Amino acid sequence: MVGSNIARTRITYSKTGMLRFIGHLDMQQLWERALRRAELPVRYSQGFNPKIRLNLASALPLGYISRCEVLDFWLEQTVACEIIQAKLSKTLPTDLKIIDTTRVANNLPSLQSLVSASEYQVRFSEFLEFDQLQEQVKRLLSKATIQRTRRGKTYNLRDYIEHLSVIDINNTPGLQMRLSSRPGATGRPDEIIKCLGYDPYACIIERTKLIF
Amino acid sequence: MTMLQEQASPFSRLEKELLRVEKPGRYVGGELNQIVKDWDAIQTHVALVFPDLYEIGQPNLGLAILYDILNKREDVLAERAYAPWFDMEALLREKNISLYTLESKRSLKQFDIIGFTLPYETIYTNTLNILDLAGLPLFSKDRTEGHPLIIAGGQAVYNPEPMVDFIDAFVLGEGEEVILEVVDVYQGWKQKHESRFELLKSLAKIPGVYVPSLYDISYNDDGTIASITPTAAEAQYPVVKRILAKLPPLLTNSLVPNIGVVHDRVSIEIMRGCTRGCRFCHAGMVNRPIRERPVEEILTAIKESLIATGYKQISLLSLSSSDHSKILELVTAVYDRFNKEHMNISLPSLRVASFSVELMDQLKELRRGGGFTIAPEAATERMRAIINKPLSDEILLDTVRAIFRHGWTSLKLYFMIGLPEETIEDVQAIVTTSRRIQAEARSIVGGRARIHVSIGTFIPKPHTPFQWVPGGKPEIIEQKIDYLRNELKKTRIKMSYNHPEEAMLESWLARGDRRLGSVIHQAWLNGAKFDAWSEKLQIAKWIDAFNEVGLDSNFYSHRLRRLDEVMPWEHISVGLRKEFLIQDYQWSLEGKTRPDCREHCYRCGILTQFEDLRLQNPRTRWSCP
Repeated sequence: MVGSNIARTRITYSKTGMLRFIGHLDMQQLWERALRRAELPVRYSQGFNPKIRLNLASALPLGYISRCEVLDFWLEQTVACEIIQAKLSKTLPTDLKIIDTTRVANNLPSLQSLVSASEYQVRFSEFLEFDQLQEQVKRLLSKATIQRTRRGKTYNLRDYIEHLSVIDINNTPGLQMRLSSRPGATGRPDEIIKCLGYDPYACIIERTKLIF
Repeated sequence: MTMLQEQASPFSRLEKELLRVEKPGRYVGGELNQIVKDWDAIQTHVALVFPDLYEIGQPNLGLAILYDILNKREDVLAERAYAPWFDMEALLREKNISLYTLESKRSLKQFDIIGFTLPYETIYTNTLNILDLAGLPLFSKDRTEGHPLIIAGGQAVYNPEPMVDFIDAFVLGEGEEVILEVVDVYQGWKQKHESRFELLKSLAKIPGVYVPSLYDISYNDDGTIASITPTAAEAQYPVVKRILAKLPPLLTNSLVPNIGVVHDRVSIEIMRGCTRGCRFCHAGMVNRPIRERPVEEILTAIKESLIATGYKQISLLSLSSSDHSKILELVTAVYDRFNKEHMNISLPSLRVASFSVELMDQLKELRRGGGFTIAPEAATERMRAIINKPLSDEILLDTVRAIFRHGWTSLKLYFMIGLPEETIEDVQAIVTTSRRIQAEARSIVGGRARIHVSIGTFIPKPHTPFQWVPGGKPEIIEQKIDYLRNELKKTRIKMSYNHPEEAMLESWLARGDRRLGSVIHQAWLNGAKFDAWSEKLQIAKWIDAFNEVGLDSNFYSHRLRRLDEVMPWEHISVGLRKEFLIQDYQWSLEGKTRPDCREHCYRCGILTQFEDLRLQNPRTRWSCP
């Protein structure tokens, strides 16, 4: 029986700076510890080695920064969102910031299954011309298939591109894109960057929005 | 944008390449409880370096304590650096970027003082590599006023001699107080704009600080040391290690790494020192006397650390946990206060006794999972008497029965080979004893019983009663390991062991003299690094180095040393009388044991050495009678 005062809580946070070098699994560990430090009445899993139950919407690839990561966890009793946010914010590493805290219905499906797409912005560290990048983007989008291979599987990256355009970031050209992020159909911005002929390691890739 | 690029710090040039290396999280800092101060507003900048990978070095308690102490001072900042892995070293060299600290990302070169911790000998080539990656001269003699002061401490520096070419000053013993005295002397020197030699002489006056360049060593024709002579009035003889009369308050807000590390938990030191006097044990000899922390202080620290770090694992550390005088009270209180928390406590280093089983049992569900570990070290009563770890077979088996009766199904046993006076019977007994233990275990828990035997190679260490004995020859050690592996293969007992080559290197370095500096340097030139990593150790580079330098490695490891020989560490005192060590060695040959010295004082020398300190702190408990 699911207790009625269990409070499913959703936070949206940004991950920047040095934390972009910390991977997804380490982030889960980091959040578990942060929740313990905040001394919130978090709900643990049952069993021999109970763990804090938490649910991250979508794994952020190593090296990316983000202003829209979403995490769900469950509290044994209701705590005001402002208090949760204040307590947690006090005990986070510098490059992690909570943007929003809300209570969500207990019966919602898992976060992972709700995400359908992600939006990204890409900043290049090398100097580019607007026209040149525009042309490259146009050429890429005109293709019916962009065949890529990941973990031994071949897929058509074009199917995953919902939107791709050149934008102006502080007077230099950058990219704005929306890629599908459904199970088994996840488009990666670094693949797009490679297809455009650039080195993804030399870019700053930021996730700007998760589409539910 | 162009302007920005011109001003870019070396780290920003590196940052876009970092994703090319394995686990970049090792090289970026940004952890919770990291301390970043305003560089320009601080007078003295100290870099604390653990010359091994981040994952190995980050959990080190000693450096964490010094980091805290130094950063508490307003005029000092302390930052951290570790050894980069091979891929990162290649990147740093390719981009011509000097090794930097994780906090300010500044080159080690920019610091006033660089303090290395040297907890084991197989970290020496990494130390040279780090100096080189920082763009600093490797040799102390080549460094001038503009270079950082290079100091080192840690368990390996009780014989500092192999590293004297590279380190300006060694800090012997417990560093909590002396580190600040070193900073004070440094600040005084810097204001006066004097020569580096003046700095070294002033440092040499601090009790516990050893400045090796102020001593002259002469040798006999047979290669042994004839004499060790101070060459400056400031140089102490002997240099006595530092200790604290009373253990300082526990550190509870230690840094929380963002990536997984080796001891990923809170470590709480419940006691320092050990009274058991195992003759092979370096830690037991050099860390005397025993000082305990009170139960209440430990409990408060557990509570505070859990909240400050968010860890759910706590390890209560000491050299022999069951010997804390209030251990039962502690363990009971830990259970009572924390059994509702989702946490996990480990209590390593338990004596082979059924009392230890009762202790672990008290923790109930707080010690989730995991097996039980005991260290009989030797499998015959005769050998256990030689090494002064007296334990009857009966008590060993009683303990084993208690472990399995209390519900454990897995037991790990530590044994050593290559011990002094070892015969084939002693080695065979490891097999018979393990099988006997397995049979006992099976009679209690049946087929679920898991026995794991871990075989270590004995290495004679300085300042122990075995400092004179020869280390086992690698080919003999190999034969013994082969024998054990073949015999244990017939059982379902799992065996793990260290490769004899690792023991060999440790054995050369542990009791080496200062001529080994050129071997270490040559080995590094040959490409040796990460020697503590069995898969990275290339012993051929070391053998070549000995040949190239013209030194005989057997001289250091396989020679029975004369009792009247001047040891390379003769001028370093850990507070033990030499007569005590000699007598203890002779007793070992007679199979005579010295039981726990809390009951009877054997005049090891520690009380006389630190008599004044003890008198000044009359209410401290040292467990000495």
